Amino acid sequence: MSQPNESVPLFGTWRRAYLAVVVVFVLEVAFFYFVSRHFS
Amino acid sequence: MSGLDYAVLFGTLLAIAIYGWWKSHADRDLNHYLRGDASIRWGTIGLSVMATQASAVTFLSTPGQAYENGMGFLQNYFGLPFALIVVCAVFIPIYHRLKVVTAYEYLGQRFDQKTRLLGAFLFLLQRGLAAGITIYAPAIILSALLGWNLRLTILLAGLFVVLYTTSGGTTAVSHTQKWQMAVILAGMAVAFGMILHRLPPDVSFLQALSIGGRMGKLDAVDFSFDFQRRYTFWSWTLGGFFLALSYFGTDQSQVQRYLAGGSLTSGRFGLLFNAVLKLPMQFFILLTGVMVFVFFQFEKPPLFFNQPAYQRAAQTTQAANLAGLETRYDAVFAQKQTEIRALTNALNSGAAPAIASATSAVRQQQKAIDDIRGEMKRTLKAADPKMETNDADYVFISFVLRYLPHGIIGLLIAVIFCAAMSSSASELNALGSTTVVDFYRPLLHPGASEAHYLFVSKLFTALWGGVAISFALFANLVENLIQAINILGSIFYGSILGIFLVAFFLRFVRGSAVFVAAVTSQVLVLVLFYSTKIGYLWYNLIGCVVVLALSVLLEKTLFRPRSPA
Repeated sequence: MSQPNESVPLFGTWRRAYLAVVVVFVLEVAFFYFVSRHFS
Repeated sequence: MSGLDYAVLFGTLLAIAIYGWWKSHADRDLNHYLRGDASIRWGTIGLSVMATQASAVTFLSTPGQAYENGMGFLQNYFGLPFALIVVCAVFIPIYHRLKVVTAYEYLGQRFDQKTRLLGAFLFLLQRGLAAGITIYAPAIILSALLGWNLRLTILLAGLFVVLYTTSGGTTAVSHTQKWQMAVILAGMAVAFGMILHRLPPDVSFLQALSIGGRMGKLDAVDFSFDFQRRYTFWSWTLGGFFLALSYFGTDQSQVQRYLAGGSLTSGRFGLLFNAVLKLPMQFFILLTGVMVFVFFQFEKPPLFFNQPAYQRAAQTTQAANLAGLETRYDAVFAQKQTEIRALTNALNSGAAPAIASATSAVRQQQKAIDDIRGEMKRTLKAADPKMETNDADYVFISFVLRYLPHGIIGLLIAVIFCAAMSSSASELNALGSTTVVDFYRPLLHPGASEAHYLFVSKLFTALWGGVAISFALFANLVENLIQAINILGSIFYGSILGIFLVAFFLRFVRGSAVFVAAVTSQVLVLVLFYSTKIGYLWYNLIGCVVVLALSVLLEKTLFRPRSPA
């Protein structure tokens, strides 16, 4: 479905773009967890 | 509201509406009305998708949710980034390749006409009802604000949205949503700053966070495995994934947004924009609710935030009981003021034992206040058994109206209206499009001119507005607006998503098997909804899995192709 050879602005490939989204998600959840624990 | 507030409110709404008209007035054909024009780029699509999902309910209910129950609701969105990745990788390329206007057209091409109509029908049913709740939300504000009759306000607010949507079309919807989202984000940032500004001078932002955290309001992530709990990391990441996959992948109100513009890359980037920014945005809105809670630790909040309803109850035979509760509330709150001051001083000094002791005392007082509020709600019920005793939706707007300066009040009311208009516009736009493209054009009136279909699209958009308004008149029966929308979605989305997943991944399954499986799944989910207490997000998973499993079973047995003799 995804076209592996398609050039994607900023990320190069769609696979890298999706990976970047997952990394950002992990960092976001870590931040929310930190806020929950730190201020309780 | 002062003249300045009205000027800000109507100036903002009018400017955006005129901009939308200016960007779309040249559109005279059906394709532009349904799909938008090619100038729509990924930033506009991203904001448009975000604005469609963020209705007025988001800005009314979400801070109230945080005020009452803390930030656990954030987990509702944990499945969203993963769902958007799947939509980008699987759904969008197929929709683009087949050049469909609605998602259900694809079902017709992949399966048959009856499966397409089933998918479109479930969408119309679910989204038609949800559109009613979307219109109901801002009507609450107006009625509370101006003292108008709620039902009359629903009619007025709804008619305004219908006029705007019918005249706009997809191009106008997408372009106006960009600016509506800008107003929303700016307005919420100003509100957040004003709340911090209104805190006592010796309470810093970090101390406000400490107070909120010690009162249990900052618990955003719960990793426990209890399936009966409404908010946990696992249930919302998994259940929320299916809800978001169904919503973004198969709900025409969203599909129409990222198919606007016509470029595959723009659509994908628009969705990834949301995958990254949705969680921080919801975190910020929930944090605004927590800051309102902290503010009300120092300033006495009303015993019940829906004051007009409270005043009505105070004129019944329960007046003496309510007065007694108010007296007790005043005494407990005065005591709590002493304890919260002690906690602030302890936080300033940094002495751990003093902080722990003061925290315990404040929690005790808060529990006493919660008990009084519980008793008060029972008294309100005794005064009027039909009264809605959940006042979470009134918390944020009550704060805005009472404590923010003129001008900012107008801006915040504009935020609510922008949110309502943007999501209603997408919903009515999609409902009208689906009715014409999937029902009217192929079944009732094939082969007519484009001008005819354009006229009929506008007509059905207006008619769906009428349906939404009618449902809105009964929406005050539900307890909490944002949960009502999610529950409604969860009941129907599982089956719809199941149909699409079979279409994409189980190529050997044909129309009749998936049709019977989807109808069976929908009936099962409705039976479970009425007879069990399963967390509603699980209906997405159950509905979807039943369609997948049953369609395979049926294809292999009852609907197995006969071998040639």
